[in-house]
Amino acid sequence: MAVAAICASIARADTVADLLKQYESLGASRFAAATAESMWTKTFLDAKTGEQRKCALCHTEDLKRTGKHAVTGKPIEPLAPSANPKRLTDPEHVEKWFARNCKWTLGRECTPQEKGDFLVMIRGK
Amino acid sequence: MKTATKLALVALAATLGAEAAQYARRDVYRVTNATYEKECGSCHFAYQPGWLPERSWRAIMSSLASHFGENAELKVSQRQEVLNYLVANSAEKANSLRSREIMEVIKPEETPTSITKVLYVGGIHGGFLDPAFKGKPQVKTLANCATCHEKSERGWFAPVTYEISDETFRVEDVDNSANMPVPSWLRIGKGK
Repeated sequence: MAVAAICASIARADTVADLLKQYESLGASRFAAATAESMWTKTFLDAKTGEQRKCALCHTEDLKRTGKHAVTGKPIEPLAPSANPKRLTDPEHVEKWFARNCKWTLGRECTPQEKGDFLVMIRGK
Repeated sequence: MKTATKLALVALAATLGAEAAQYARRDVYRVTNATYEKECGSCHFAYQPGWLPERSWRAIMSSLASHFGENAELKVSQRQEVLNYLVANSAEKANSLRSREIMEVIKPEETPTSITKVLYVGGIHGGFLDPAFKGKPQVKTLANCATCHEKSERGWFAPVTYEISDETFRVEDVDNSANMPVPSWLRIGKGK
């Protein structure tokens, strides 16, 4: 158990560092958890359905809690690494869900700056 | 086997009510592809491929950018792997009674892309979606099979438990092995 947790934390440090470097190479800089915090609860109007969407809708406002898929109700494991050590350990997984969830929530892809802000915010949870 | 022969057999079977010997399995085959289970099952019940015909899976997998209102895009390699798996195990290919029943109710000109709206599934469950329904479960969608069908993730939809008013109903477990006589799927008995 302890070994698994240590491995996960090393994998996470690498994953986040690599992704942030990548975002910086695309022009992002000075990642700020506070910016992501306010983005987290901001609502976005979905033009097609008229629904109000936000990150916290599925993931809840407390990242340590288990979330719930807005449509199917399927549980979503906590995003906070302190509650779920697997988080932020697989760069492909991170990028895939940024792509899907930014499009659903904001109606567009997130910018490298926004993604970096989110990573820094989630990492600290 | 020619389609005509197959149809004749199915018709004969329906008349005799004891054709199970033709099928290797009574219910759908469980999911055996890890990519499908992970990529699709993280948002919703990982419906077994034997629930829909090949044409339906192709239609679903070619419109993932707008998948029931959500973006569910996959990497090209994963999309291909999942599609191959679904097609190879689709309802018309699965040697299961359940898949055969599904194929019976889907018209040849139809390409359903929502399993819960196929009458075979949606019709039986319609009452649970009625806003006036007071029993359990109270669901927004039918997408969460495992709420009532406790073994459904293994491709096994019996036993089932649900409540209407204050009464608990339970469809008991049945044998899933080959060569069993066909039971009535809706043997509803009052539970404990």
